[in-house]
Parts: sequence; C-alpha cells; structure tokens
Amino acid sequence: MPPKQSLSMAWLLQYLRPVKWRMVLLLFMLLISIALQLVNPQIVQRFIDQATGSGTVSSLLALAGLYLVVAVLNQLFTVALDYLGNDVAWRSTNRMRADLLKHTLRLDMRFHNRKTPGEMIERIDGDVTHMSNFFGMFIVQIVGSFVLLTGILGYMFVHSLPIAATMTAFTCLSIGVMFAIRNLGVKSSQEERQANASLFGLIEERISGIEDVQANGGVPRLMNRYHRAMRAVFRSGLKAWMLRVTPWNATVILFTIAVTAVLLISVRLYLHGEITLGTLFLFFQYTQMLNDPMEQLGNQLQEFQKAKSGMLRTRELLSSRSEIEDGVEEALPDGPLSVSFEQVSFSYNEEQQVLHEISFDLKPGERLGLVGRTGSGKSSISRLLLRLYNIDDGIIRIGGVDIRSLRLKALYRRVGMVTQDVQLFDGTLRDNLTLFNPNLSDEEVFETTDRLGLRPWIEAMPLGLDTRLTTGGASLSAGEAQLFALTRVFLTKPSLVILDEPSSRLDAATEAALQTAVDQLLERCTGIVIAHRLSTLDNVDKIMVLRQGRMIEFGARDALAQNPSSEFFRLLQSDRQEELA
Amino acid sequence: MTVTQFMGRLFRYNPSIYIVNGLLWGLFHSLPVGIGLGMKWFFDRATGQSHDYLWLVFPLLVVALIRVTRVGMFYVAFYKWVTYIYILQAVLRRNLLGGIMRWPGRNLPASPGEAMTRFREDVDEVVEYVESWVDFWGRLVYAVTCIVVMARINGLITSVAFLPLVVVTLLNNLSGNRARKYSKTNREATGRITGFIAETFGAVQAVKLGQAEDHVLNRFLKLNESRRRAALRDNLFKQWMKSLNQHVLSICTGVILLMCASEMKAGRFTVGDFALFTSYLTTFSFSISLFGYMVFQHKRLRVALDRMRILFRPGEEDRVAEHSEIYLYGDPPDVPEPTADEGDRMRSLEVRGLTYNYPNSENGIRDISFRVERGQFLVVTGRIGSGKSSLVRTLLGLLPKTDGTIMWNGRLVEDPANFLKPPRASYTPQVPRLFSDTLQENITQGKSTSQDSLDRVVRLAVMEQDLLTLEKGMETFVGPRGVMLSGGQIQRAATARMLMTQSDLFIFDDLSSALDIETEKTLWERLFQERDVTCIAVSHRRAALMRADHIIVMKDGVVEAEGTLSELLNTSLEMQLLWQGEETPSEEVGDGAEQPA
Repeated sequence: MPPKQSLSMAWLLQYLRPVKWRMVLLLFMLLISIALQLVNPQIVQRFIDQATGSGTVSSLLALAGLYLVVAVLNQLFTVALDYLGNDVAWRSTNRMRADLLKHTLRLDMRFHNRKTPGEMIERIDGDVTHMSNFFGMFIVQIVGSFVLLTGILGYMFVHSLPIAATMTAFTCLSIGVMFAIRNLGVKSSQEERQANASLFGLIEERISGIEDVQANGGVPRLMNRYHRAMRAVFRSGLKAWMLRVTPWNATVILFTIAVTAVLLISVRLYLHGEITLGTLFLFFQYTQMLNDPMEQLGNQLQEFQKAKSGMLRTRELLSSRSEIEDGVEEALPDGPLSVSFEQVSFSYNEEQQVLHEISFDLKPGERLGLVGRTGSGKSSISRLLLRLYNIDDGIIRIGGVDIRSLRLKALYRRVGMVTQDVQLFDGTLRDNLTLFNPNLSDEEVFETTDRLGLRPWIEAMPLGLDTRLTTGGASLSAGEAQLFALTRVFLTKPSLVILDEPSSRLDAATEAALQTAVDQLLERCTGIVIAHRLSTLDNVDKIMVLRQGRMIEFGARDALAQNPSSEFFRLLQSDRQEELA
Repeated sequence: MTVTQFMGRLFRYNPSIYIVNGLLWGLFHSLPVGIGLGMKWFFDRATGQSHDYLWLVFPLLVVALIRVTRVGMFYVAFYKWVTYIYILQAVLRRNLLGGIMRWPGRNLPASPGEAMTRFREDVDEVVEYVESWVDFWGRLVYAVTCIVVMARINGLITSVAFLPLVVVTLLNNLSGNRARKYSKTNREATGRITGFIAETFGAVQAVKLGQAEDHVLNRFLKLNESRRRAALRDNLFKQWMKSLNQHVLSICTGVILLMCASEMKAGRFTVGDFALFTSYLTTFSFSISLFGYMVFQHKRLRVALDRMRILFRPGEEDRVAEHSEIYLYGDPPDVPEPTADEGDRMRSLEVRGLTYNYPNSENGIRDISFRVERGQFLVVTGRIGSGKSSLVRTLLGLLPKTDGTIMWNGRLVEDPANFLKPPRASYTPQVPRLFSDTLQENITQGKSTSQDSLDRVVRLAVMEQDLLTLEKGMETFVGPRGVMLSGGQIQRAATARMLMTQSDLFIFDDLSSALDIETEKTLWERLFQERDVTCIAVSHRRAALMRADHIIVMKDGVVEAEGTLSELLNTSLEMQLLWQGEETPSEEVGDGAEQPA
C-alpha cells in the first residue's frame, strides 16, 4: 500500500472486492424486494377504486390475497437481505481487522511504547466495528434507496408531470442538503472515539496491574481518574450524537414540506377530475413510502459519519510507517553468527544520548557478558541488535551483513532474545511455548523443556501441554514464567541469542541448575548475556563493561578477571565483599 | 438478582431523567395518532360533497404542522436520551470497575482484555434495553389510542389487530433459550478477540522477536471467523424474530383488507377510515414489534447481566446496579488521604496456619505461621515455586486464604485485602506494573505531595541517578506498563511508590531481582537508616538475608525451617543449598571455570 493516499471510497472498496459476488447477489435481491414494495400500493389502489366503484367482492378478495402473498415474500427477502448484508460486513471488516493487526505488529517499538493494549482494542476492534455497517448495508441501502426513489418518481411521471416535478425537486434538494452537511458530526465523532479509547485504555491497564493498584491503596484515585475519563466521553459523545442527527432532522422537515406540496397538487387534480380517488390514495401512499428511503439515507448518513471517523482513525493507523525500514538481504552465513559494532551511537530521543560510539567485535560462537549498572545502556545494545530501534550513527553487522540491509524476517529467524519481562497469552501451554506456531512438534517442545527443567512441571498439569493458562498466567510464578521465555527462544533454534538477565527472578539453587542447560543451549550459537550477577558470567569468553552509555572496558574474561587494574576485577571484588560482609 | 430487579434498580438510580425521557418520547411516539386522524379527516372531506379547495386541504396543513412539531420534539427528546445513555454507561462501568477492584488480586474470572467486552458490549446491551423501556410508554399510549380510535370505527376489524400481539408474545416466550444461547456465544467470541488483541499488544516485543507475527495473525483470523459465524447466527435469529412479528402484521393487514372489502362495498367503511387504518397499522406494527422484541431483550439480557455480575466477588454481585455517584457534570471530589489511626499503628503482625490452595492443582501454601514486631525485618526465602510469593499474596488478601488467621496488634483481621493497605501496609509485586503516566504520577499515584517527601522516597529507592539521565526527569512519560524505563528502573519506581504511602509495613516481593548488587546494597542501607521501618521481604539474596531479624525457609509450600541466619546455616540443609548457590561465584572468582553442582 502506498504510504499516503487521499481518503476515498476506493480504499474501502478494496475490502469489498473479495466479497463481490455476495454483493452482486445482495443487490439483485434488493431489486426484487424494492419491486415488491412498489407493487403493494398498486394493489391497494385497485382495491379502493373497485371498492368505491363497480368491483365485485370476489375480485376484492383476490386483491387482498395477492396483497398477502406479496407482503410475506417481502418479509422473507428482508431477512435474507439482512443476513447477507451482515455477512458481507463481517467478512470485509474481519479482513480490515487482520490488516490492522498485521500492520501495527510491524510498527516499531517507539509506536508500541505509546499505546496501551486497551487503546489497541478500541482501534483494531472498536473503530472497525463502527465501520461494519458501512460495508454491506450502507452500499445496499444507498443504492436501494435511490432505486426506490427512482421507481416512485418514475411512476409519478407517468401519471402527473407537475407532481413528479415537485417531488423530484424536493428529493434533489433533500439529498443536496444531506450531502452538504454530511460531515457535520465527523470531527466530534472522532473526538468521541478518542475519548472512548482513552477510557478503555485506562481501565484495561489498571485491571492488568490490579495488584499494584490495590496493594498500594490506589483504588480511590483510580476511581477519580475513571470519573474524569468518563466525563470526557460524555461531553464529546453528547456533542457528537447531536451533530450526527442534525442532517436527518433537516431531511424530515424537507420531506414534510414535499409531501404536503404533492398532496396539495393532487387534491387540485382530483377536484378537476384528472385522477381517481384510488390514485389520490396511491399518491398519498407513495409519499409515505418516500419517507422510508429518505429516512434510510439519513440514517446511513449518521452511520457514514460514525464510519468516517473510524475510517479516518484506521487510515491514520494504517498509514503510520515504521521508522525501521525493511532491508532486502536474506542471506546470513550458516552456523553461529559474528557480531560487530562500529562507532554506534544511539538515543531514544534527541536530548538524551544513551550509547556513545560503541565498537566491538564478536567471533561466531563466542559469548559476551555485558556488565554495567541499571541504565548504563546494556538493554539498549540488545534492542539495537534486533533493530527495535534505529541507530543514530555507526554500523552494526551480524554475520558480516549490515543489519539495515537485512530483511527483518531474516534477522529474527536467526536471532533470539530473552527479556526480563515475560508476557503470556490466555491459551494453552503449547500456544504459549510455541507462540501459536503449529509447525513445532510436541517432541521438540519436550526436548527443550526437558533441558530447562520445565518438563516435570508441565507433566504435573492436568492436561499437559493442552492445559489452559487462564487470565494471563496468574497461576505462574515469575520464575516459571522466565523458564517459559527461555523455552520460547530456544525452540526457534537461534544462531545468535541475547539473554537479558534471564535468571534474575530465579533463586540461586534453581539458577545453578539452569545455568548448565543454558550453557549447553548456548553451545550452538553466539551468545550475549546481560547480567547483574557476575556469577552468570563465569562461562563467557568476553566481557564488556558499560558505564553511562560508554564502553569502558572490553576484553577476554579470564584476562580481565586476573588483571587487578581492570574495572571487571574491581566489580568482582566488590561482589565478593558484598557476599562476605 | 433477576433482570427485572436489576432494571428496577437501574430506573430508580436517576428516576427524573427516566421520567423526562419517558414523557418526551411518549409525546413523540403518540403524535402519529394525530397524523392518522388528520388523514382520515382529509379523505372523508375528499369523498364528501363540498369541493372547496381550501376547506379540503386544511387537514393536510394540520398534518404538516404535527410533523414539524414532531421534529422539534425529537431534538429535545434525543438530547435527553443521549444524556441518559451516558449516565447509564457511567454508573454501570463505575460499578464494574469498583467490583473488579474489590477482587483479591489477579483472581478475576476473566482476562483483562476479555473483561473489556463487558465494559463495552454488555453495558451497551443494557442501554439498548433501557431504550426500549423509554420508548415503551409512548408506544403503549399510541397503541391503546389507535385501538380505541379503530374500535370506534369498526370493532370486528380492530379485534383482528389484537391477535398478533398474543401470537408475537407467545413466539418470543418460546424462543428465549435459543436467543440467550446465540447471544452468549457471540459475546464470548467477541471477548476472545478483545482479550487476544490486548495480550498481543502486551507481548508485542516477544511476538516480534519470536517471529510469531504470522502465527498470531492466523490465530486472530480464526477468532475473527468464529465470531463472524456467531454474530451472523445471533443476528439472523434476532432478525427472524423481528420479521416474524412483521409477518403476523402483514397477514393481519391482509385480513383487514379481506374483511373490509364487503364493508366498503356496503358503504359502512369509508376511504378515510381505510387511510386511517393503514396509516395506523404500519406505525402500530412498530409498537407490537417493540413489545415482542422487549420480551426477547429481557431474556437475552440475562446473558449480559450474568457476564457483568461475574466480575463481582461472590456475594456482592448485586452491586452491579448500585446507585453510585458519577460526576458527569463536575469534577469528582479529591481523594481523601487515608489517615492513620494512632492507636492502631502497627505493633505486631501475627499469622497462624495460613493456607491457600490454587484451584485444580496441588500447588499452594499450607499452615504457615510467623510473627513480625514493629521495626523488624522478616525475610522469606526458598526455591522457585516453593510458595514465597503465594505466601505474601495470601497475607495481603491478593489470594483468598483457605484457612488460617491474621492478627494485627493481637486483633483478628477479617478481610486482609481491605485491611492490609495503606497506611497499614503496602506492597511491591514481583513483577511490578507502572501505568502510562508520568513517572511522578506513578510514584505519587496522583496524590499531591511535597517535593521533600518525593525527593526522600526517590533517594530511598536509589533512583536519583536515573532521574538525571531521564530526559524530563519526574515528568518523563513511562509508557504502557512502564516500557520506556529499564527493568531496574521500573522496580525501583515501584519501590518508591510503595514507600510514598508511608505505611507501617512494607512488603517486598523479590524487589532485588532486577537490581545489580551495588544498587541493591545501597537500597537496603538507606532503608535501614530510616527509623522505625518494618519489612517483610521475599528474597534469596544474601544482601537481604544478612540483615534479617528472622528468616522463613519455604519448601513445597510449607515452612521448611526458620530462625536467624546463623541458626539456619547450621541446621537447615535447604538454607545451606540456597546460601551456597549464591556464594559460589565469589569463591570462584579467581579461576572462574567450574560450575556448582
């Protein structure tokens, strides 16, 4: 999709293309249903003329019976139309939801760092649902209304030119007015949607972090925040609703004038004997029927305004580009990958430099330990390696290839990362371990979990891998969750692994047991280990010490550990003092 | 609570707005009576003898006037109705949120994302039903007037119009269970989708790095597809029921035609009467549809109501319709500070036989007892999965204890979740959550505080260095769940948040796991320089163990051993193992090759 496109129907139509045959069927059925609607008043006209004239009771009964048949048929078509319209709407909006999810997942972390999951629910599901009526029903109703209008007007033209002319003039005027003020409520509807997204963002976030709120006495203040957010929804919503109904009201007034005018003319014609009483009644019925398409148009305009605000927000989301441009290179050397940083500088925002001119080389299969205080830039290095952010300056190469020229898919296929923060899905254990990848066999899962010591725990579960982890893994301890994260990454068989304090939440006894397994797994790849605890770094080849974004030391671990003037030596000493104090 | 009781309570919440709405919409819906009478009037004059144009069209002008009045009426009524919508949404959502926040911790029987559908769709369903009840009175007046007017014209024909009412109501009564079933599957499918979106974006980094975008998308497509099916079936059924109502009415119109054929021939039924009948019947059909639909809605609402009620703790489900303040027209009052009752300041906390079993699992804690005096430092240690976190969470009421007693100053604590909170106790979870606000807002939780006390907690939590490196200092926006900060920063911000509450008892669940040794050491040093600090900390780190007055060693959910550090190192094998594991690295600093067994 091109980056910028003017907002047009054409964009929406692309979602209707896959359902075009359903649309054709829908329109076809619509035409039949309209024809039936036009027939019934004709029957009534005959009925009246015959009832007040010379018709027999039996012919009257026949007309009444015909009326019944047509009415029942009409009902059946209405239900079928509604079903089909809904089907089209769901199919096309589901595509749109999927597109949105796919697109936003590709956006860079700068984007995700600003959006709460609750807000994303509103934008991917809420906004699109607002558009759902627009697909299917909107087009059908608009087309249907116009056809019905034309049918009625056409009939009137046959019977009386002045009436038809008046009716046409008013119809055009109404439609014109409707169109002229159709955008009245769009802007405030957008504000309403945003207020809703904020409200739901707030609620979702606090429910997710319920313990943090409760155990620190934050509930009363949360309620206060809720009231403010709900009030914003109320104020924007009230305005949006009132503005949205205005076009509809305008058309009702115009319609009233039109109907009155038509009847006034018809009465004159009737008095001159140009039309029968039955025809007068037919005109009356048709003017009543005109009410329907006009009201439909008005309703659809309201829907249109809702849909348009959703559409604008959706388009905005779809046109936001990731700052990370995908490369084209696919190929990376087989086996463990080398890593090199050349004069890499990086900042999350302009004022605050996080990394200053970092340069180092790591040969395939080597393991690097990253040491430094919190906030020294350790985690930033790992995030840069995975292109979660763009660097400001310098070059990062993996396997000798500049990562900017690599396709992200190719990069992620070979590089894995375990972080401190483990996110779990409401799904089975298997889903959580394989991240919904159906190609991983249970044997592979068990092989890895066996190594990491998670297998006995899984087997103790009532349904094994099919056990559901309910409500975001509330029944899992943080340590168990971390084992999950390790399993996830090693299941993808990476050639370069970054472990961002993978054992920080484990106790020493468990950690020691785990260390062996992790070391074994690391044998097949290059590894970068970030650690607070120097004990985690006993088996690495190289050490890098970071302080405030600068690399102050880099070298072989053993050499540094034995050199009393090195920073690493000093750290080991203070570690030992702490332990012995 | 039945749907009827629930609706009753809801109407009584703000009766004036309901009555105003009922009156305005009542007028709006009964005005068409005038239109029908006007048209009859016109057609009767048209078939009459006089052919004076102005005399003839006068009823038409009256009808036009009624129509215009109706539009004005609509505007006012609509304004009132939209206001009412938001009042209902506000009070229901407020009650839901309040109810959720009374749950012990994360035991909510719905995932956060899934709970969101109850704030959206289920609340909207209630609003929809209220809408029917607002329209009801006007429609009823209209229907009754119609019947009276029609009956006076021709009683026999009118009685036919009563038939559908009976039929429709019967049909709806029969279809209630299916309606509920379809509606429930539809809601559940929607809940799964919102839950999945929330979790996906909560785990967006893991999804990206795990190359799981395609798998996640496939799952999403599947969920979407099953919702499409559920929604279509739900909707088809709804439409079918609606259309059945219409069917019955079309048939009745046909029957009326049949019946009045002979009457009209005989001149006992005028064209004006016919105009009135057809004009009334179409609008009358809406009234009948509404009544039938309301029976259906009433049954269907059971689903939405149950889904909302489940968010409340057992026993207090009825609070879903509680009459809470909603502050739509003014700022909510500032939150009163919890004041510490001096007589009730902590002197001791005693726990006896505390037990909690995770449902459907043998995990949990059994029979834990300990005692903490003011000023003491209690450390809970043990292996992964030994029940340390479960212990503190059960103590705090974040998990509902299945047995045991908690005594505060020797007095029994009935409801720990309500009692053990600031200013008595506060807590930092193992994986703390920050919220998408500024850092200051997160630490103070929106409370206005002096710069001094803020500086104090920041220093205690060893955050002052970080503040210098953060672009906007305290005003830095931390992002959802605090993602803009590092893990260590989140942990210390959460610690600062806890300290800010100035509670008597601080409970750390593995505070130190994301901190490096130097930072952690500083933190404990600074904390114990403060006078009069009482702490319970879950930790397996030496820095904490060495400062403990008392240590509890947990294993497989029970207390394996307890005592001071030196006692335990002498007597407890488990403690020795835990201590040893921690010790190994420093012992092997020199050669650094071997691994501990």
